[in-house]
Amino acid sequence: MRSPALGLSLFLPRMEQPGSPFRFVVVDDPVQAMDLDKVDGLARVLASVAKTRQVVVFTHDNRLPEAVERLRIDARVVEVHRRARSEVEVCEAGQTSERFFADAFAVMKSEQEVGHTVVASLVPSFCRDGIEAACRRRVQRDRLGRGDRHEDAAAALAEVSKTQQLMALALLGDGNKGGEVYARLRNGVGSRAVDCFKAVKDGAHGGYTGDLDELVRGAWDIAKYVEGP
Amino acid sequence: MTPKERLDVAERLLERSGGALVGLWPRACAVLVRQALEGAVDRVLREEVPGSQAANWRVKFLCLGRAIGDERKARELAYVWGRLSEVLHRGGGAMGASEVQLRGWVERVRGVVEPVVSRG
Repeated sequence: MRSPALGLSLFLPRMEQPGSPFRFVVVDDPVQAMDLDKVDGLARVLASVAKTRQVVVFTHDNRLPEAVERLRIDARVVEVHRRARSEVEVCEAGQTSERFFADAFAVMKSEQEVGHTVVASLVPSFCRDGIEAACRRRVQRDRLGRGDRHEDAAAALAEVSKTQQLMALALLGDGNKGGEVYARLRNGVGSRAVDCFKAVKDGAHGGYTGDLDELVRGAWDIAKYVEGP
Repeated sequence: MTPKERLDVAERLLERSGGALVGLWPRACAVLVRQALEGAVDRVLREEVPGSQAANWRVKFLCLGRAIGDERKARELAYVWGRLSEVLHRGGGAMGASEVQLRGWVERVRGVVEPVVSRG
C-alpha cells in the first residue's frame, strides 16, 4: 500500500468518529502514485467524508478533478495560478467542455483590453479544448460503459495526438478513421459543422478572421453532439 | 500578427496581473508562444526549404536544423514545441504551464524569432 493511501485510510476514519474535534481535512496531493481506479475510489471516499466535514484537496494532477467531474461528485474545483513574486490568482476550473467554452467567451470579453487580433488568435484554441474535452469524455464513457478498464481507455486516448484522430476515436471508436470524421459531423450536426471544425483546428495555430461568436457557438454544438446526452 | 508581435503580447500577459484574462493567461500565453514559433519556423522554411509547408511538425523541425545550420537549436525548439503542444492539448494528467516555464519558452522562441525578423 502506498503511503498517502495508508495515511488516509488511518486518518479519515478517526477524523469521522463522533467525538473527533476535526471538522475539516486538508489533503495535499493524495493521488500521486495512484492508478486510475484508485483515484476514482479516493474521489468517492472524499465525497463521503464531505457529507459531514469540509474537505480541501490540493493537487498537481488533473486525474482527481477529472474523476470528480466524471463521477458527478458535487465539489468546487478551482485552479491556483502563481505569478512572479508569489502573486496568486484563484479561478474556477474544470475539464468539461462547458468550462472551456466559458473560457472562450471570457477571452472574447477581453477584447477591449488586449485587442481584437489577439482575441482572434486565442479563441479557436479554447474552442478546440472544448471539443477535445467532449471527445475525451465520450471515449471514457463509451469504453468504461462497455466494461473496459480505466487504463485501457487512457491508453486509447494517449495513442491519439491530433484533434482529428481524437474526434475519430470518439465518434467512430478508431483514431485511424480520421477520414470519416467530416461525413459523420455533416450528418450529425450539419454541413457548417465541418467548416467550423476545420476553422477551429487551423485557427488554433494562427487565429481566425471570421465571426468569433459564431465560431464558439458552432464549436459548442459540435462538442454537445460528440458528448451526447 | 507577426511572430514577434505574438511574443510581445505573451510577455505582456506574463507581466500584467488582474484584468479580463485572470486565470486564462497561462493558456493564452502558451497559445501565442506556439503560434509565434510555428510562424517563425514556417517563414524560415518557406525561404530555405520550399515545399516543406505541407509537412508535419516533426518533419519541419528536422528541415529547420538544415535550414539554419544548427541541428541542436532545431532539436531544442522541437522540444519546446512539443511541451507547448502537451500543455495545449489538455487531458490526461497534464497541468497547465507555470509562469516560470512560460517565461523560459518565450525567451527560447525569441531566440529564433529575432533572427527571422532581422532578415526583413
